[in-house]
Order: sequence, then structure tokens, then C-alpha cells
Amino acid sequence: MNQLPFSQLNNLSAPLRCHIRHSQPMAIKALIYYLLFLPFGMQSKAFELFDSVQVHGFASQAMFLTSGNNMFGPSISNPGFDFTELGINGSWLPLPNLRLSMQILSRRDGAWSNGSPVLDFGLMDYSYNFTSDYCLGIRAGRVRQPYGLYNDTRDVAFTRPSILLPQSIYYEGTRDFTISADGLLVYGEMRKPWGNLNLELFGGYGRTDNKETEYSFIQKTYYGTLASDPSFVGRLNYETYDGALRLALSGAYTSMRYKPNPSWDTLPRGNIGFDPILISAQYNTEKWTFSSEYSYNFFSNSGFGPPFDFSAKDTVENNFPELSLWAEVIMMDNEGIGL
Amino acid sequence: MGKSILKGLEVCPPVMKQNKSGQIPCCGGNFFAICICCLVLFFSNYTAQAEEVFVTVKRGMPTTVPTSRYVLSAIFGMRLTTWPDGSAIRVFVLPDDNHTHSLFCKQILQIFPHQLRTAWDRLVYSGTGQAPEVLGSELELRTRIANTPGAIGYLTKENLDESVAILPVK
Repeated sequence: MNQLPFSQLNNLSAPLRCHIRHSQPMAIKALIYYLLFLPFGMQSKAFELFDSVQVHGFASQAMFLTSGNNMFGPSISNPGFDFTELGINGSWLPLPNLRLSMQILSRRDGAWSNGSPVLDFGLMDYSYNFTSDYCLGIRAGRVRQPYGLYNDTRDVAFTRPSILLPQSIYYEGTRDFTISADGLLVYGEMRKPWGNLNLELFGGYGRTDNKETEYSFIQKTYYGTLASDPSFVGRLNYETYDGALRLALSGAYTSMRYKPNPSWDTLPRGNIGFDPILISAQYNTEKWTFSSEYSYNFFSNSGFGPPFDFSAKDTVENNFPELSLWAEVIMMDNEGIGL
Repeated sequence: MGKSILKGLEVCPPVMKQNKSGQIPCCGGNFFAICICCLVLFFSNYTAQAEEVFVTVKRGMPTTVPTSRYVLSAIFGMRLTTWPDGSAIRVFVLPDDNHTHSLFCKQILQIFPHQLRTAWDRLVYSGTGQAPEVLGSELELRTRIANTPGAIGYLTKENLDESVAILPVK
């Protein structure tokens, strides 16, 4: 996805050096040659109220210093601190195979979120183990979307390899839309000596009641609202039982409607579609993690009339060798041709 | 071997003196014996540091409990949460930087501690699972395993006693 108001440069030594291509001509001149991230993250240990109740929390604060584009608020020449994440979650096991869990998140990320607490996920999870090798389950409520390697926990700093995940796959502008949705998810897991195979299928409604999602898909905020139509997300995940190798195939069919303001609006009623396919691979050693993901995206607009209506394929190639060594992360993010 | 080395040392005095032909007597054979002895001591010491860790459960667990390595990975990875009879599995572990925990991860699960922690975090912060209970010492670990129905953990040999049972790994 290339509807980005900024680009990021990762200056790497050969052979991992990458070149930035950006869809906005002016941004080509405004290269970010100095990007400084100073994350400060904390993780709480599990706090058990009763035997089956756990509470966890996390907090992170980042600093951005850029040369040509603002990042989560003003960050050109002077450090910007408008990226804060605070979360608390709890889970309860009233029965061995029934779990209730919820997470509240407070997030500041420039003009998009002001830190007001929101329900990040809240779900009921029931599972049934046929044997120790086979399991089926169902989750209902606001559920994290099964997509790629990092979408499940993308808000938690110590679960991701970098301050920001590769934006070509995990674009922050559509974070609310992609991280969790309201509906039903069914899953099955098969455990064998050769590895674990896990299939998750979700059907429900995406979170479109935010301006950042509207801006990301329509590139401007309008007077009306976006409403989600029934959408579907799925992921097939394979992992060796020692966690060394992980492969995943994810896909989504998402649909939204623009509802014009009844009083007055410049945009008519229309439909927006976003259908990505994502291939993921990860290899873990004792001190290194190598990850790569490839996304093939389909966008479509209809009903708006020219010039908004289109049906195009946006191939986004994101191959990033990811090296995690203590607090140092090196990754490469290549964006493909934009719309 | 010890007597042979001592005999060699008697034959080879600490101060080397030239013999009548001007050559210093060669003590290669004794030196070789000393090297062998050092190597034996070195590796025996190395072996002592790699303690064996045993998967431990509350005594009285049915014999039908799964003991395959990949199933234990699912149990300690918090993805498999019930025993075959439907009762809850209670997983107890030591801190991530604990030596016994590290040995357990490498010997039994054949993974690294940070991989296990990453797997737990993925479950906890996506709402799809819970993390195991982390205890401070092997003594506390043994006490909790012995007194908690459905409990599983791990202990080194010196911390085993009659209150817990070893779960053999296939």
C-alpha cells in the first residue's frame, strides 16, 4: 500500500543496501537521511488475581527525528515524541477450554489518535481437543486479525522487531482497520512431529469508524462516514515444533461503504474494496531472526464516479531480511509501484 | 593412569640437565600423559556443568499423558491446555534468564528461551492464550508441582524428590 505521506530510508551496508522509491514526486527530494528511534518499552510480568486470571501490561515511548517528512506529528529538525503506546490486558479461564480475554489500549500517534482508551480486543475463545494432536476452536467478539507474521501483536513494542513494522505490509494509517475486527473466527490446529499446522478463518465487520482509515483509502477526509460490509480474513500457518521455521499464507476480502453526509457532501455513495494476499516466511536462530513477506494487493473503488472509481492491482514487494540482535534491528523495506 | 604419571614424574626431574652427548633428555611420553590427564579433567568438568533436566509432574498422573517432544512443546508453548481427561494443564516455569530454564529449553524442547518467551507473548497480547506461571526457584517449583492438580514443570536431578514424578520424553 503506497498511500503514504512519508517514506523511510533504511541505510544499510552492502549487500543489504536498499533504494527508496516513493509515489509522491515531492517526497523524492525530501529524503529522510537521518531517522532516529529511541524506544523505551516496558513489559509487566503476569499478575495473577486468582489461579486462572492473568493481567499483563505494556508501555512504550518513541522519539522521531527526521529531515524531510513529519512522522507522527512534527519531527523535522526537532525531535517528536507523539508516539506512545499503553496497554493493559486481562484473561480468565472459567473452564479449562474456555477463555475470556480483553485488552484496553491507549495510543498517541500524531493527529490520528489522541491517547483515548479504546477496546483493542475483547473475545470469548472456546476450544476442543479431539486428541493432543488435533484441536478445533471458535472465537467471538472483537478479535485480532490473523494476518502475516506480526499483525496479531503489532502494538506491543517487544513483540515486533522494530519501532515501526515495515509500512508496505503493516501500514500505520490502516492500523485500526487491520488489527482487529468484530465477528467470528474459527480455527483448527494439527500438531505433528514435523510441525504445527494452524488455519484461522474470520468473518465479520472491520473497524472503519476512524478518520485515519478513511484518509488511507480515500486520501482525504470527507463529511460522511465509512461503514464496513461483511469482510473475511484467513491465515494458514506452518511452524516447526521448535519454532525455527515459520511459513504463513494470509488473505483478506474486505469491503466498505462510504455514506455521504445527508446535509451536504462532495462525495457520493460508493464502495471500497481491499483484497490482499500475503506470503510470509521466518527463520529463527539463537540470536538472529530472518523474516520476509510478500504482499499482492487488490484495491477497487466503485460508485464514486471518475476520477475515484478504479480497479487496479498494487503489487507490494516487501523483502526484508530482518536481523534482531538485542536492541538493534536491521531491516530492508522495498515498496513497489504505487497506484 | 595416576600412578603412571607419578612414575613418569619421578623419572623426569623438574630441572633438565644435558646428558653426556649434550642432549636434553626427552620427556615427551610424560608430557603426553599429563596432557591426556588435563583433557580428561577438562571434559569431565565440562560434563558436570551440563546438568540433566527432567520434565516433572504431580505424582499420580495417569500413564496415558502424552510424552512426545512435540506435544510437550505444545504444552509448554501454552497451545495445548488440557490433559486427555479434560482437566486443565498448569504449567510452571522458572525465569527466562534462569540456568535450569535454559537447559530445559535446549535439552527437552530443543528451542531457545527467547523463542519460548516470544511464543507466550504472541498468545497473551493477541488474546489467544495465557502465559505460564513463573516461579523464583526450583524449590518453589517443586512445591507447586507437588501441590497443584494437573501441574507440569521441570527440575534438575538434585531437586527431585518423592513428591513429584518424572515424565519420560520420547
